[in-house]
Amino acid sequence: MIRLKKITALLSALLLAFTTFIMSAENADARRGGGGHRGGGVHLNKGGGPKMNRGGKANFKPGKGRPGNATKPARPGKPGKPNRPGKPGKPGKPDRPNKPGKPDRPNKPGKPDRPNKPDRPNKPGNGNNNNNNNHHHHDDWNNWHHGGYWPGYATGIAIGATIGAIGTAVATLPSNCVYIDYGGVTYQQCGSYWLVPQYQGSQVVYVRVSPPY
Amino acid sequence: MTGWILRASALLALVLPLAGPANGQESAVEPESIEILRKMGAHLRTLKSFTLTADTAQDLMLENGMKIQISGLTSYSVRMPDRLKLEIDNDRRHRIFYYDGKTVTQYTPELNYYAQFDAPGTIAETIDLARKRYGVSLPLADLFYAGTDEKALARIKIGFLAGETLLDGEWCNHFAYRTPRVDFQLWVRKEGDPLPCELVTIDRTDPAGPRDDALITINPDVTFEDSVFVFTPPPGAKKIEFEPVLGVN
Repeated sequence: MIRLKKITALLSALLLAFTTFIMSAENADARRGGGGHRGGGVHLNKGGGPKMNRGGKANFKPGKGRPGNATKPARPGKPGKPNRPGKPGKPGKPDRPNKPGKPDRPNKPGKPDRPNKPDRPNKPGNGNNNNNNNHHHHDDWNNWHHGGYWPGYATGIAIGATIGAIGTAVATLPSNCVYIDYGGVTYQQCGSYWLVPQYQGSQVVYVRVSPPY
Repeated sequence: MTGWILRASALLALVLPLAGPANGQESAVEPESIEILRKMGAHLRTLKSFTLTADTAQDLMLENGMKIQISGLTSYSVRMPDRLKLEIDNDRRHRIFYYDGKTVTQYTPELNYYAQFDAPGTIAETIDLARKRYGVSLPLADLFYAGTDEKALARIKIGFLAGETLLDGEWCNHFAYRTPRVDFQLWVRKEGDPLPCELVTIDRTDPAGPRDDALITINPDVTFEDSVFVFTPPPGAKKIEFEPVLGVN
């Protein structure tokens, strides 16, 4: 009798444990929100001119929702998967609210450390920002194949916050610069400094050079 | 009383690990996880003329330790073996990269700057040269090399099927991997051709673990006009130079 009781207790403990496990698995599914991740299934081809993508991201991928993804109904049970949600036309999540576009993206007033865009065009009042208050963990894309992210590379040209000696570079220009084309070279003349834009990888930097004349 | 609790937990300890690799710290590499890399890479290398677009989110580390997200789109148009156009347009940077079989151009629309170098005859050689000599690395190109480099495969210390996810209306198997420097997760179409659905990488060399995430869509059969791959300088475009990477000729 005692033995039987023990077995019953053991069984119910197991049952409880399983229920808990299954429930948490379901929660995990719900959280992951697979269905809504890119949601809608509508995926227009972006094929066009330079500005095609910016700002409108949320518009041509309705239902895309990186953050959150909270609303996906729990996935149907694994075996058999009878109820796989229909492919097209998933009820895209409202999720990421459509941002009307670039202009209002970065600038929240009062954020001291806002990283600037080093080579977007200087906006008024943005000309003096430098790029040295932050860094990307790498310049481009994480990469597993070459044994890690692309580890950067040396070009021998140091990038400073402000214009330094000849042969050093800055990532952004002061606001007092003008273009000068001379001898087939594009210069930026900033007061008494002359700089030449160059690509360091895919970053534009301005290297200080001797005045050409 | 305590007797059955102990027994129940002993049983649970036996049962739970069967439920999945959730606590699998040291689990080895599941062969399937390597096999899928080979299959996906091999399939991608059969594509002749295609587009790849990726909706990207990349962590940017601030000096104060905060991570902020840089969102963007990456769009490739590729015609093997010697035509490629790549546009990267994210919160920080907008670049268009053209390879017309002879010349590579990197263009920055907002500044109207472009730079060029003479290119080798194939995409593979061009990608290699761009990276090694000019420090320009092409995002997600790794996918196409998957399975080709045994050393890279050998760096994978953990690899397993973590589950499956519905992405863009397609069920994709979710694989997770650990290498010494990078953890990565790859989602691959469960049915049909083994196309990548998503790639997440986490940089392990930074304690904050910055991550890159790309939701990938491949259109495997697209016809392009030659002109797609040719850079024509817009009015006022200024030609600048690449700084060659030190020590590489």
